[in-house]
Amino acid sequence: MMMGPEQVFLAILLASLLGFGGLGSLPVLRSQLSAAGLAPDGVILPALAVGNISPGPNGLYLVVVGYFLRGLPGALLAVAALLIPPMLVLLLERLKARLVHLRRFRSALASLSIAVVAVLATSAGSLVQHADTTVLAIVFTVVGAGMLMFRLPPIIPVALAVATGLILG
Amino acid sequence: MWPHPTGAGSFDPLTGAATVSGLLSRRQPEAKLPGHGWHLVLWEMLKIGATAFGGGSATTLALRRATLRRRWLTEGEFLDTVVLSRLTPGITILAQVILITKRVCGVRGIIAGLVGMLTPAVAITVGLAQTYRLIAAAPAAATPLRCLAGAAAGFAVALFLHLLRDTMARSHRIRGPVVFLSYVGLALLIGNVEIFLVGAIILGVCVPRLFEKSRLFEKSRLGENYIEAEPEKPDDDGS
Repeated sequence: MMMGPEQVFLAILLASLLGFGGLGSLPVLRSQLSAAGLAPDGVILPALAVGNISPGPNGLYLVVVGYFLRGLPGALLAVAALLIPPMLVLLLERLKARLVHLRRFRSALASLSIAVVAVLATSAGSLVQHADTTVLAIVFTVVGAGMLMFRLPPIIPVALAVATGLILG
Repeated sequence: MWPHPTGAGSFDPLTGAATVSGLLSRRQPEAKLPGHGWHLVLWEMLKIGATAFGGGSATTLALRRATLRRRWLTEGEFLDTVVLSRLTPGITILAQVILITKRVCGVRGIIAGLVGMLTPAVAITVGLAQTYRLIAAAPAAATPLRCLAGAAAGFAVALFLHLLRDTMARSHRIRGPVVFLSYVGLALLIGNVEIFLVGAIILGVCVPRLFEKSRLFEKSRLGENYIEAEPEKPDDDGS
C-alpha cells in the first residue's frame, strides 16, 4: 500500500505537532503509518539509522521517511511539514509572560512529556522486536543504545555495524 | 529561564521553580552590532547545517558557539531560547533557530536561519537516504543492514532512556514514576496514540497536582536561589 502526497504531509505534520523534541514524533508517526496500512518499523528503522548519521537535528529522520514513502517530492513535503510546528514558538514567545506562570499550563506540558515517553517505551519495544531477528542485530542494539547513552557520536555504532556486517556477511 | 512574575529573578517553566540567576541575563538596549545582517545569519546557519554531525546536542552546541561569537544573544538569553523552544512542538532546534534569528534581524533573519540550517542538512540526509536505497537491494548488503537496523533500534532505546531520565528528573519522585507506569498501561490499552496524547493534556489541565514536584525538593535543590512562587488564585487551582 502506498501513501498519497497529502497523506505523507499530514502524517509527518501530525507526528511533528504531537511530538516534542527531535525523535518525540516517533510514536505518532508509527501510528500514522500503521493506519495507512504500511509496516512502520520497516520504514522507521532505516530512517533512524540515516537520520542519526546526518548533520543537523535528529528530527530530520522524518525527511528520510518522506523520501522512502514518496521519493524526492516526499522529502520536500516532509521538510514543509517539519517547518510548521516550530513556528508556534513565535506565538508562545508572545504569550509566555501570561502562560508559563499558569499552574495548569505547566502541568499540561508535564503530562504530555510523560505521555510521549510512555508511548516511546512501547514504540522502542516494537522497533527492537522488529530489528532483532539475528544475534548480530541484538548485539548492535545493545552497542547502539550503550554508545548513545554515553554521548558517543552515532556515526561510531553505525560504522561498526556496517563494517562488522561486511566482514561477517 | 524567564522573568519571575514578582519581578525578582527568573523562573523555570517546567518545574515552576524560581531562581535569581536570570537577573544577570537581562538584555540591555544596545546599538546595532556588526554581524546582525541576514547574510551573516545565513552563512552561520549554512556552516552549522553542513557540519553539525552528532544530532541535537552537537547542533545546539554549534548554535550556541555561533550565537555568542557573533554577539547575537547573551548566555542568559540563549538559555531562554532553549527553554522556550523545548515547550514548542516539533523539532526543538528549529524553534530555537527561529527565536535567535528573529532577534537578530526579524523575518529576514528567520528565513535566512531556516534556509541556512536546513539546506545542507536536508541535502546530505536525502543523499544518504538515496545511497541507502541503492545498496539495500544488493545481497551483500543484507548482513550489514541487519546490523544497522539493530543499531538503529538501539538508538530508539537510548532516546527513550534519555527522555525517561530527563522527564523523571522534572517530576515528583513518587508521583512521576506512578504516572509514567500508568501511562504505559493506558497507551497499550487505548492503542490510538493521538487520542492518548490529547487525553494526557486534558488530565494535566484537570489535575495539575499530579504533575508537580514538591516545593521541599525544589528548595533543597535550589538552596538560597529558591523563591516562593506567587500564591495561586482559588479559581485557577480548582482544588
